[in-house]
Amino acid sequence: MKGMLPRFFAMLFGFFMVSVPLLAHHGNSAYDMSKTTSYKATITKFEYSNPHTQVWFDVTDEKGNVEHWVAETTNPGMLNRVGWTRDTLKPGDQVTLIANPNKVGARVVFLEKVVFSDGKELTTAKAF
Amino acid sequence: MQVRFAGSLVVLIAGLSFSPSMLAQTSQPSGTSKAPAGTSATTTSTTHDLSGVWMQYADGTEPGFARMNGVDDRVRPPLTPWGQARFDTAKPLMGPRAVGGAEDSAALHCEPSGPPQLLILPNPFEFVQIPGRVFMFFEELHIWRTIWTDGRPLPKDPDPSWLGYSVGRWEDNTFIVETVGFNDKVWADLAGNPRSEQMHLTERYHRLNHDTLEQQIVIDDPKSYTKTWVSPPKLHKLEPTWEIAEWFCATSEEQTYDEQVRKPSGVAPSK
Repeated sequence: MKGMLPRFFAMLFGFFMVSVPLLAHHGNSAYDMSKTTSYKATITKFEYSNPHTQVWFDVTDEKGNVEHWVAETTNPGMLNRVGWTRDTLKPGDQVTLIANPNKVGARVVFLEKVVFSDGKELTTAKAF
Repeated sequence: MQVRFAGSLVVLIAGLSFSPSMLAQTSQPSGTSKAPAGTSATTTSTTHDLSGVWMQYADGTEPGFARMNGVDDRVRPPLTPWGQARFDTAKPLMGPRAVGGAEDSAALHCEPSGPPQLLILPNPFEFVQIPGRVFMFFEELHIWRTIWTDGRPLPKDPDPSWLGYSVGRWEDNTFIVETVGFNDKVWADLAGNPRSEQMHLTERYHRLNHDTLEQQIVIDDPKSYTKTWVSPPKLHKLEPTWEIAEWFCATSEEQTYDEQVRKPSGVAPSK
């Protein structure tokens, strides 16, 4: 009983954290929003624009093959409110991207979080 | 010097006389992020005043639908034959019929949006009140809307339009907005449910407390639906530090996104 209250609040916190605002008028049916995948990414382009911000990146596999990917996320207006700027990412940056995978295997995913090389994290949205 | 001091004092007193209600709208801490438990308590400062930037609460609906059920298709009445035909031809952005990369809607062509779809999207809007009218400024597509509050009636035969023609009134502490004169070029929601030129839309806004606004959307559209569509109330949170950002639909940006991201997102890689 004693530990139930903290657990309840932890669950409540988790509930609100995952209930993030998602795509607006373009839908998100291409992505499996119930799963996340991690990508060791080298940024190639950062398009901080409407309707959806785009993070273009390369992933190199064990054999040295380079794959070209893009992660989309919400618009700059919403991202600004959770700490993003147009300079958050730049070509050459090496980061870990946490994203919802594509349902059909296309190299287009939906970004949830960036983990920088110093360990700092930036989400694409928060519970308001 | 004395005259200047007296003048400053008058300005100061005038400022203080007007400032409490303004401060109440902009500077009070937001407090809890949780929705209140059904209280209908209001204060003098919030009565008949909706001013401020509002954002939907998260509500725990399934991923992909978060915050977008102000028009709730779980309680949608049956479609008319006309409504069904419209629904069947829609390529929706959300819901079980949505196919990644194959969506189509007015928004994807940089066309305007309109109520009720405009009201349910997960982006903030701002109420601004002046004598005789209330404005709503939407971040989504940077659209603004006039709600006339000077007592005028709804027009009898308005030209169809994206936003319709809106009048508003207060009944106790609820602001009721009625709108007619819509076109049928935009869906009622993101799942492809239609709206027609016969739609009579009613919105009810009730401030539960300083930080929380309840919004309810009622769609009376006999051309599309066999009964009135009454969605459950949806809560919005006051965001006193937010400004409505610029978000136009720029054709160049939209086309780039469409060709480079949205359409490829539905194409499986060749083996």
